[in-house]
Amino acid sequence: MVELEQIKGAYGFSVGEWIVPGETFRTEKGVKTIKWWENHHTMNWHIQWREALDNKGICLTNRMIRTKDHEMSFLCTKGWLTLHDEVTSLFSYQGREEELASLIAGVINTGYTMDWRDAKGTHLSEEVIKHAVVDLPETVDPIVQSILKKTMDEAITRFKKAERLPVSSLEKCPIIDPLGSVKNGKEIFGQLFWSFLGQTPEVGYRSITFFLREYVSVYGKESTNRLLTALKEEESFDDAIMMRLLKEAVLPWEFIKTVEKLRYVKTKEESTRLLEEMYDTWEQSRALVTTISTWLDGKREKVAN
Amino acid sequence: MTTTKTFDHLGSVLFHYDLYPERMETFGNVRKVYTNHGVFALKQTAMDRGAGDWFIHVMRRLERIGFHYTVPIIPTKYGDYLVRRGDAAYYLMPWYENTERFTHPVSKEDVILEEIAKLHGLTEKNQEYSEDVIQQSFDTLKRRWELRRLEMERFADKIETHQYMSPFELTFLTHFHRMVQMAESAEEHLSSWVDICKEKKGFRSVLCHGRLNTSHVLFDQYGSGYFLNFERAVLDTPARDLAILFRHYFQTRPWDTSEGIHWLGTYERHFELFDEERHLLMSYLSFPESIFHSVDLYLNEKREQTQLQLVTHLERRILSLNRVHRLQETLFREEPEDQQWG
Repeated sequence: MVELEQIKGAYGFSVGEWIVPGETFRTEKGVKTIKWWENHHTMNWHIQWREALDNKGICLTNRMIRTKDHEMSFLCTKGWLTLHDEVTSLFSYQGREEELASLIAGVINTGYTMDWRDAKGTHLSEEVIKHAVVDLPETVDPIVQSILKKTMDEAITRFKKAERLPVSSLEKCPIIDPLGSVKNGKEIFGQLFWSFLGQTPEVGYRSITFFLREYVSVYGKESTNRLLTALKEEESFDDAIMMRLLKEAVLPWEFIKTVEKLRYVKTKEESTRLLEEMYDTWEQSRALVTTISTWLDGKREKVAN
Repeated sequence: MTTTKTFDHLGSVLFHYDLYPERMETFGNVRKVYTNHGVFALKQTAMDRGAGDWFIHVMRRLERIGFHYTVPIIPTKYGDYLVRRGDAAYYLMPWYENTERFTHPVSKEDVILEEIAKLHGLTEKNQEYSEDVIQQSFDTLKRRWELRRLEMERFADKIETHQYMSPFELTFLTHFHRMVQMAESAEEHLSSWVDICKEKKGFRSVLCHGRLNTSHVLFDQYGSGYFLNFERAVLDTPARDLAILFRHYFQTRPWDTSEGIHWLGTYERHFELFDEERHLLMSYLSFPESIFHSVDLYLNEKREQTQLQLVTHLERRILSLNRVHRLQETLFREEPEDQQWG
């Protein structure tokens, strides 16, 4: 395990006490958390990402705390690390959807300025869906396998519907650090503080749709409608982006993700659990698609009237 | 000064410094913040991105050139010098108590002049000569002054038709001839400046503080002054800073010609002005803008001052202008070259 003294020295703390050894520690300047990086290039991407987003002045994020030598990262015996604030109070989204909308718009805009190298693509095709269920391991419950094969038809139908949506393939795509869960939204001194996870940068809007999927299931349609309306108010957020989000929600990503996970299950019970999880997510996707479509229809009606 | 215990608004700003306020006191745009890590000054200011970047550049440059007579800006834990919240920007400094009693006799005015002269010396730079730039500066200022003069002449013409003049109008008209003389003198000095620059084919710039006055300098017990508020800092002629500072001195304390000469001498012991810069300084000081400003205040329908306050205001400025006139006569008296500015 990394020596706490080494980190204390590098960052100039006089007090240091592990809360979770190797991860979180208490200092005289609050609780700090360590992010380890296997890849120096990825770390630099995330440094650039959080600084670029901060420049937009939207909200606080878990930016890299500087060392005593003003460096944004620190190379210790175990490897590269960056240090961040640990904020635990969760953000109250209800009634403050505009703040979240600003963040989402800011994430997309910042994403347009980031480079492509090492970013994870998110392309889906009918072939990928068809081949997903082929040669599943024996550890997958046969009933689960059978249900998946039947679900595949519905997944293909969803894919075809998504493909029919009027989305231009020539539009530029943002490269972003996925927002992750709604639980990553924290609050400090009444301000939104976003805890990015430092995941592999992703190309496109898929991760935002995943976030919205969770949002609609936790905070309901009314709050999501307010969020969508607030997003539309954002200068850079146009109908083309909303259509992109809708397309990503219609695409059967949860099906593909579940099948990928099933290849590594060790027990039949585990495969059943994963299938149940997929159904839950499937319903969440349906709820998001309905919400976005209804919201878009409502907007069109307003324009027509 | 007000004390507040509601920190939410500024708490998120201070979070950038890992500071948690226990108490705050407000002094205009500055909050005195008490924390368990010490006492700090948090300044709120309106700076757009460009102005903010320039301000940071100036503070870093001052540090780099070894000019330590500044109140330092403390960077955030993320390495920023400014924290932005909407249209406002904040920066943090250690709280410096301004000392009024020193361990030995010190003239604050002299200290400021000495230190600003050192700053000008450290940042002196000969600018690439461009006659267009010089001529443009000259034309712009001359045009502005002509317009102001015209406005005041119209005002004088108007009040001359009044059967009963107000005390303010009467005071203004009594001294109007001197004002016109001073405005002409300012233009003459400005012409001398441009002529010498053209002849020398050069001019220099220094880093000007931009808002020099005694409230922007804090003194320690030994009488050293520490400058703050470099938000309006700019690369310009040293005459700019000196004119701002002298005007401030003129208005905040009684002074006479010998003191004016002493101030200039104090400055020039550390950073000698060129002839053309002296002309420029004198043109800035001679132009009766402060009197014209009194007229603006008088003509403002929403003015808050009483007639008596305005007349007092005007009288003070007229008195100051007369002193500038005497100072100018002394400084530019025809003397053998080696005896000038001694």
